[in-house]
Amino acid sequence: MKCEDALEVLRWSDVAATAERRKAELHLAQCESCRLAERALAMLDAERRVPVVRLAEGAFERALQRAVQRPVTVAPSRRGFWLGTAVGGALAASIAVAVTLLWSQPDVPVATVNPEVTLVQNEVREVSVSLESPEALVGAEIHVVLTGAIGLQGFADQRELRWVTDLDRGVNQLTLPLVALGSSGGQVMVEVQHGDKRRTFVLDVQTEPKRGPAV
Amino acid sequence: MTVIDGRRSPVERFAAIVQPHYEVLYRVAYRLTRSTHDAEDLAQEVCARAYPRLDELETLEQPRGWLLRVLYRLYIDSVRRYERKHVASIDDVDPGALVCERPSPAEETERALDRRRLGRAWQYLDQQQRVLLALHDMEGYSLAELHELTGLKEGTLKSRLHRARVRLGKLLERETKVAASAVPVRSER
Repeated sequence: MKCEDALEVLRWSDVAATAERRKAELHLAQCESCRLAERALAMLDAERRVPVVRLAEGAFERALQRAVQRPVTVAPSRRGFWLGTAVGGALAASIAVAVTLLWSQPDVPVATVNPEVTLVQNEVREVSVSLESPEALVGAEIHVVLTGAIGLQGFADQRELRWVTDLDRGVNQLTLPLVALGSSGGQVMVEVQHGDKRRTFVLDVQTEPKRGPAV
Repeated sequence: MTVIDGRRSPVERFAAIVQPHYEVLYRVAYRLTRSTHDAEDLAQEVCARAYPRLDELETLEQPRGWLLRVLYRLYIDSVRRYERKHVASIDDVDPGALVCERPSPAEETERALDRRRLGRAWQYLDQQQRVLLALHDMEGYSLAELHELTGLKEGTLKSRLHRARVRLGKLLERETKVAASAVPVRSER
């Protein structure tokens, strides 16, 4: 019998006198390393019976806070906030804004009404901007500018981000973790430039005060 | 242009998935680190690593295994961070949490000494030995579950588990000898 099997047989075999168990007992009586392993196992078994100290009050809430406050680790210089192509797939964020890049028709007027989202003050909310491109764009420059009382989670004090990325043909999702810093709202301007073509979109951000707990 | 409002924020979606498993994460972290402080830190770090991957989490049928794998990797990769001298400390014991039959004072002392020896021996095991012993021998995870977690084959797990127990047994023996030699011997007149 192998050493790694002997203890398992003794540990899990309910029948006291099976041939297998007798073999395991015989092995153990003669094997120094199994004797040491048995001692360790007895100690671990005693430790197992000691109840684990309860989770402290609010432990999960603290974990959540740490998770949410951790800066976004995606480097804007590479793929930035892009989640990649998503055609009709699940939206990554709780608010999604869809826009189409109509490069080839520069004279087509841009929508006169900006899309609008409402954020609760001081609460991070991911806003997904879906940019539909009629063609793949290698080396497109993305420029994001924040105005008013809004910020990007993980980019404290930065009001402007610029990076180069490749856009796929179809829908490309740009997810921005926005936070309303005050009650006055603001705007997010997203500009996509490729060669001599440029398109700019503006997202209006409204703010509503944080609601108190339900009574 | 369309604006679609989701029903729940990412934080709420994350909490709905992870909170039911948080106690297990903490428990396993405690078994590994033998410290409430480090266990909470490790469990929190799992959340911090998992949160940006909420989309992936939401597609999983069994997020617990996924979260435990994150914890396992974090623990294995963060050797130094959780590498304090983890001697079972009285600070880690919450009397209210220890609901069990009250042993005699002598038994209590013996148990406390055993835990202290185990705590000292524990720090000489390598990270993976601790994972195997904590999860299999203390938390009752099967070899199949350990395979899912570590990617090691069951045969390899069995032999590593045995080696880890033997090593712990040797370390405990050494601890006992050290303790015995430290007891002052009263000279007979």
